[in-house]
Amino acid sequence: MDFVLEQLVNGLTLGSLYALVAIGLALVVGVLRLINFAHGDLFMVGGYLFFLARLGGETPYGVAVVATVAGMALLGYAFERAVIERVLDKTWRVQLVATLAISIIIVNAFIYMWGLNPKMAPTPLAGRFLELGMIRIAAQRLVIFVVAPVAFMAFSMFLQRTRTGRAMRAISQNREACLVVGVDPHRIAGVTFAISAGLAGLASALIVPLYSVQPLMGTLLTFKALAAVIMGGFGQIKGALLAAYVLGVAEAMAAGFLSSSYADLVSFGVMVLVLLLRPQGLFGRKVGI
Amino acid sequence: MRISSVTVAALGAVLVLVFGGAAGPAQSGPSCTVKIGVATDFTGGAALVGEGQRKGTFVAVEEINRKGGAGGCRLILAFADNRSLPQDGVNAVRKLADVDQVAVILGSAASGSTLAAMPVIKEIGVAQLTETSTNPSIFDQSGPGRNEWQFRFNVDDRIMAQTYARYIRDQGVRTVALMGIDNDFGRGAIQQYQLNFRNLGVNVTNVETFALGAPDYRPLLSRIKRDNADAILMIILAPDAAIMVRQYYELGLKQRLFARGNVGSNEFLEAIKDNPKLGDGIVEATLWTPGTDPELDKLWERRWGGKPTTHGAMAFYGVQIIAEAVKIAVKEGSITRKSIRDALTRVDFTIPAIGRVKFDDHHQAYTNMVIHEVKDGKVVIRTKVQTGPPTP
Repeated sequence: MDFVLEQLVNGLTLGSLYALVAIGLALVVGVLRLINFAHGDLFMVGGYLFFLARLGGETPYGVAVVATVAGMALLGYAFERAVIERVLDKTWRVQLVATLAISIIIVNAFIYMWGLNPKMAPTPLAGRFLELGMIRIAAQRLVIFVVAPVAFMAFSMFLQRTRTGRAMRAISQNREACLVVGVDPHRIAGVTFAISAGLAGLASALIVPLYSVQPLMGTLLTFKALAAVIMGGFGQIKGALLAAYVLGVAEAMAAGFLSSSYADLVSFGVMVLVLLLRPQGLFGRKVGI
Repeated sequence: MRISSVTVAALGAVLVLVFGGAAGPAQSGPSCTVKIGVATDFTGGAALVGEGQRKGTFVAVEEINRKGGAGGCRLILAFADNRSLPQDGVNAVRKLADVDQVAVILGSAASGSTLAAMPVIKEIGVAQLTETSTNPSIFDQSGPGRNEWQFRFNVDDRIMAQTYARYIRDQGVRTVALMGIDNDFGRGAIQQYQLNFRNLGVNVTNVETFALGAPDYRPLLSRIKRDNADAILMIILAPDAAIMVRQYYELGLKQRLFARGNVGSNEFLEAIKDNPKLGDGIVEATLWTPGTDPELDKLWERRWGGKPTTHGAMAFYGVQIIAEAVKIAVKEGSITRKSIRDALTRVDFTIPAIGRVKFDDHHQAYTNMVIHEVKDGKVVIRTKVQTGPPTP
């Protein structure tokens, strides 16, 4: 039983990692109908920003988190203005090439600037271990377990209760109608990217203390997060969140009860199974043609 | 725009003249130049390896050229990325041989890329000197009557496992969990250690593989914790190991840690410098130990700052071996791909940090194997083993 619980904790840890990255990706897909293949790389940039903000442990953790989220939000806004705005009205092929190209440029620029040796930015919480029965866990993981859902709830409230949030939802439902009633899609696109990148920054600040920062860290995560977005129902934020946790737990259980070699097979198998049973994804709506 | 068949034929003729006509990839003579191709992983999960190799080859070439070249020939470098993948391993050597027109290839670090490239170098007719690939199949497939263009100066996991598995058993280990990267390097090593441990009566409780650059090892380590082996032998590279040991302590594992890869390396020590105790007690069998070549340390520091990586050091020695072969070829009067290949079979000299370099009929040299331990943020040699051909 302890082993099952331990694997569940491992799965929730992995799920939190995927969820924090997937939410920002799902937001952009939902609002702008664009897949940002550079999203995982924004997560990586956030990692370096957090590493710098920590100043080798001199800056308090909370301050470094706020600085990372704020810095990434600004960067996301600038990214939208510099790149996305120019391709937003183009075909999906142009958008795909543009975001992939940005991904390659960002990764190589960081390899050039930082090299490939991973940087560590641990916090005191990452090195403090808690005993919960037979399960041992770093306190930093509990921070992730708490902050990830809280961030999601705050984000949901923002979408439901603020004028900008409602405008984002409206754009995702009917862009043309929004233009008629005076919603500025360019402003909304900028805000969407700022929030998406800010969430990637939050993910980095929470996760990097347990792992490391290196220029290639975002590549694999982009695919895992994209799997969660697809499984959740393209652009459905709640769906992406749930799917990310399902993927994380499926991977951990596969590694625990079969073999770690089967972890990816099982998690992507779960995705295929969900899509076979619900082609529109967990939270997607059926669309007739 | 339509391109006429005449234009295509003319273009083809020009290409044949430019590339096909260049029969000799290097020019001999008083001021000759020899181009060395380096096929390694500049991107992908093991990109840190390629970065080190690029730096190592630069340091070696600059130093050799500063001293007047190899037998009077200036060495220059060309690079190709194989991303640690077999298919890209083929593309990389084709690019080096056909486009860059190199005289000889150094590479690759990744066993999968090396194995995939071997039929291609044989087809093209260009020698490849491998410096860190440890899959035993390379030994089986190299040499006269097999692939006479393939050479390797690092010992492989079959050779190392025969000594290292016994060493681990002699430390009192009766049960062991194996975990390794899910590629030709990791799987090849796991196979060898399974075989050797079985022969030595050591019970293998777990065989776990993970993707290169995987972010989380907790599920895998939880399994190992449940099955409670005496020790873990991890076939792993430094960046992954730096994360893995943190999660090992987080889960409260007590198993003794043994490694194969580059855990006892400057890059691992750099990655755990926030808490050097994380590495304490890890024992590793490998090809090179940091701090054993002050001359390389000095050259590296001057050129790049910092300390050499394990793969960078091996690439540095690889260029020295190629330079030795070029000297022999120059003495014999011609520098072609074939003469360099023939010269490699006659190389016989000693590099103090790694031992004697002389290739046998499998084109395998038996340089040293080192067993060292990470302790207080340093790497301490426990024993240096003179290797030999694998015993059946």
